[in-house]
Amino acid sequence: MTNDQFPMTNDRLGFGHWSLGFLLRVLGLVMLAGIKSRMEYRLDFILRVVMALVWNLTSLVFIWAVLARFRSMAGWSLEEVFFIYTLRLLAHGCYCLLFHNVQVISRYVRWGDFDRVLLRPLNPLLQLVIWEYDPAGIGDLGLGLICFVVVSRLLEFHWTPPAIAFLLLVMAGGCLIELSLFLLLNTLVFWTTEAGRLAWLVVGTFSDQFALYPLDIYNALLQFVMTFLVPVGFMSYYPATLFLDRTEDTLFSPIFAYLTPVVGLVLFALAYSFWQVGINRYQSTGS
Amino acid sequence: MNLRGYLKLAQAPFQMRLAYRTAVLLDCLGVILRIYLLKVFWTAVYGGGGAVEGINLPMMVTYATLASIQGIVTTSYVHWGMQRRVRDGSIVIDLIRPYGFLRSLLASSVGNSFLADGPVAVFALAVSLLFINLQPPASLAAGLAYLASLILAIAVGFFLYVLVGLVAFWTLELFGFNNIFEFLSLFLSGGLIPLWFLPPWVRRIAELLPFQSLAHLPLSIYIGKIEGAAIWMALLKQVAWIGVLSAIVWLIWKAAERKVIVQGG
Amino acid sequence: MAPMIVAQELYREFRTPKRHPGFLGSIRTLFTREYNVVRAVDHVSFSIERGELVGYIGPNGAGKSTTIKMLTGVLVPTSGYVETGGLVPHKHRQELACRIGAVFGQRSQLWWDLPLIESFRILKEVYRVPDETYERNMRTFNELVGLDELLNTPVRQLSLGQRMRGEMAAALLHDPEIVFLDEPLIGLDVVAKEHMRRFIAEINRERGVTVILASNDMSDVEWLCKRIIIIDKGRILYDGTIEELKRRHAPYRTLVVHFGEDYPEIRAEGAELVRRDGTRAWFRFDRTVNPQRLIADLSERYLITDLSLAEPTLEEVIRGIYEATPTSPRARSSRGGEGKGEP
Repeated sequence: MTNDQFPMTNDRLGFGHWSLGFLLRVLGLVMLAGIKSRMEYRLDFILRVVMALVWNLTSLVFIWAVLARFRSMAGWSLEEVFFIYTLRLLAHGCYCLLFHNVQVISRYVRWGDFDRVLLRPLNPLLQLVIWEYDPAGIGDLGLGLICFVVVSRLLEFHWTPPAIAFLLLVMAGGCLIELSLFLLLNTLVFWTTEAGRLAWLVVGTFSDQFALYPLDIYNALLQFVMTFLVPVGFMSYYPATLFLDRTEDTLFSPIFAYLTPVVGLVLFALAYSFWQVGINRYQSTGS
Repeated sequence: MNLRGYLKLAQAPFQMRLAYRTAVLLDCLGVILRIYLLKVFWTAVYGGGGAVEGINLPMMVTYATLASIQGIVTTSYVHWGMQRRVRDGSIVIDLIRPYGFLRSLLASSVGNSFLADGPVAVFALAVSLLFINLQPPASLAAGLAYLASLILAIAVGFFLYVLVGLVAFWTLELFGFNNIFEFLSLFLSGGLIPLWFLPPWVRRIAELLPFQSLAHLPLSIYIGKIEGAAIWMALLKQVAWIGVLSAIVWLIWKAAERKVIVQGG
Repeated sequence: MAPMIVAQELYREFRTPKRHPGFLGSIRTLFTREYNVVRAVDHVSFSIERGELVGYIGPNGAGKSTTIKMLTGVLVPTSGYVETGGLVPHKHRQELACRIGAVFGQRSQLWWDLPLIESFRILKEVYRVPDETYERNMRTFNELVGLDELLNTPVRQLSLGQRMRGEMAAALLHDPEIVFLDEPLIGLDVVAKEHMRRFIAEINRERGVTVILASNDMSDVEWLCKRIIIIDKGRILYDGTIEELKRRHAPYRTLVVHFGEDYPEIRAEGAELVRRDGTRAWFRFDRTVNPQRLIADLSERYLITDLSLAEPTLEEVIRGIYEATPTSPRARSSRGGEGKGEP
């Protein structure tokens, strides 16, 4: 066994000497293991899926019941608000299905399991996301898809290939936005132990509640916050204005309707950089 | 279940005071944000229009705000405690003294309501008074009746949660059941959407169930939707439900007792 | 050949802001500039050659775990130099990760709900272990500790001893050059310990894997290691062979005698009576003294039914050293232990 077996590599991304095939194999294997592991507790899994459904349905039934009675809010009809809700749910569903585990960061660090993560030759963030993979997000995404079918019919929306392509980009971008927000806030665990709860409150409030409605109903300050600070507006509202041909109604530039994927990428880059800062701090101060 | 609920359930030692304080703080923030969102929501929905079903925007906002605040004190966590005791077997001791057990449950529930939920509710109320245009009760009598109704609502809530907790005797795992229970309770109590906005068939079902005692009845009294003699009817309904629920609890308790004795816990 | 591990004046301190009591105090704490400084590792230097099996011992909080964290790249030293496998650990953490293995006694790296074999399959993939290496190792592990019979059991159903065998195998799966063991034998019963000790010894002997064993258990260390490094309050008290340590700090042996009668008074020439229990007596005598003379002397004067000679255990020796160390962290500790052999 000599040093030559493991040639020195430029390790900046923390991937080491990697290839796409290797990455996919590891991802597949570990996520499959996670699924098998969760299926050991089948009832628990089903309950979690049910809970996610109930949580999402509560908001939906609420919107539906009120708007069935009141017809519209801030110039948006029931179907249009439902559309906003659906866009957000689709993005959220992707996040839950793929990256939900990012929320275990605070637990790993607080319980001393993070060291082991650092000792493995694989990007730490990737490890955290896949290691205890939980497929329960399928419930959220499934509901999102059902809503999508329903609202498309209600609006008599004609989905052209470009529209579908952009929809997928919006889903991906929205998913990245939610992931980035959770990552950013969970990284605070390297400074305070309360980071996990804070993350849950902030993202839970903005994504689960405030982002369900057209931004028009909020005052200018809040619209600013939801566009530039906690950009959940891009998960649902802004792309909705594009699909529903209402881009002129927004407070800010109509360009924003197209920006969801960009916002997602930029925010993720920011979050990932902050995450690196967090890891450096962990290594420098020891907890 | 919210953060404070978990910590209460865990009976976290005092070292966790920091965690507890943060949890309380965050819950306060959560409640306030929810109240704010509801205000913005209803304002948008009313869109400058006048009264709907006799309720105008300020009354609706008051209704929604009070519903959020009183929801903090009417929610109980006894069912989690019961589930825990069933799981670790200590429920057997409770079976020997059923009255004592119920009384202790009630005591801990009320205690928790005052000590932990009380401050959050008071804080939320204070903030609401400052920033939300809360309407006063429809009349002094309505205000007093509201308070009475609220106390009855807490009692009804308590028995309902005990019933949920009793399910633990048979299923051991309350999680899914609890979720469905909370979902139904949220809508049928009128806590999220006033019952008079819902389709008539939902209203009819809600009228037959105890959930409306939790929010619809007390809040309707407050804003004057229920007035005059109808107030007495409402209060009577709540009392009746307390009676019915406690009887059901008693019966199921007996059944659970038999089950445990036969199966040996 | 360059040493496997080098530590030079390795220093690591932890600063915690001085806490002020009370509610107002906690606000003051946010703005405080006063810190409590804990010197977890205080100018530690040593070097370890390839293939050594070194015991790293010290009481809890002595700095063992902190040192290991710095050696593996998890923690950055406050000052000083460290090199593991020719690399600076925290700069090349993930590259180094392929060449080191670790077992942390309390925290498991195995998948709790899945059969043991699944954990190995995953680690094989993550560490990019070639198929033949994997097969060979699995065979070896089975020969050494009978791993095959455990492979299909979910880890949560394994006993502690079985699980630790799995942990050890998992740490060695990718043929690491160095293995860090942090209290790997804690809580194991006698039989399990025996298995694990043999496993570790075998790996070190057959494959030349460098092993750092951090432990509080002196009997394990004594069994496995020739060389030990003693650390206390962040400072090295001794770095050398166990033999040398005993020779220097416990230059005695003990003669345990069972007497035939309960003598009122027992004396021995050239030996000190350290303990008496009815008809049993413990005599401590200098290593340079020939025990035969002592035995002859005693048997002339007393009736003896049984005899045995005992070596000082590492535990006795260490305890003596701990007790001799001054408690003030600023005080210069007895430098008599630095470096290999005599200073």
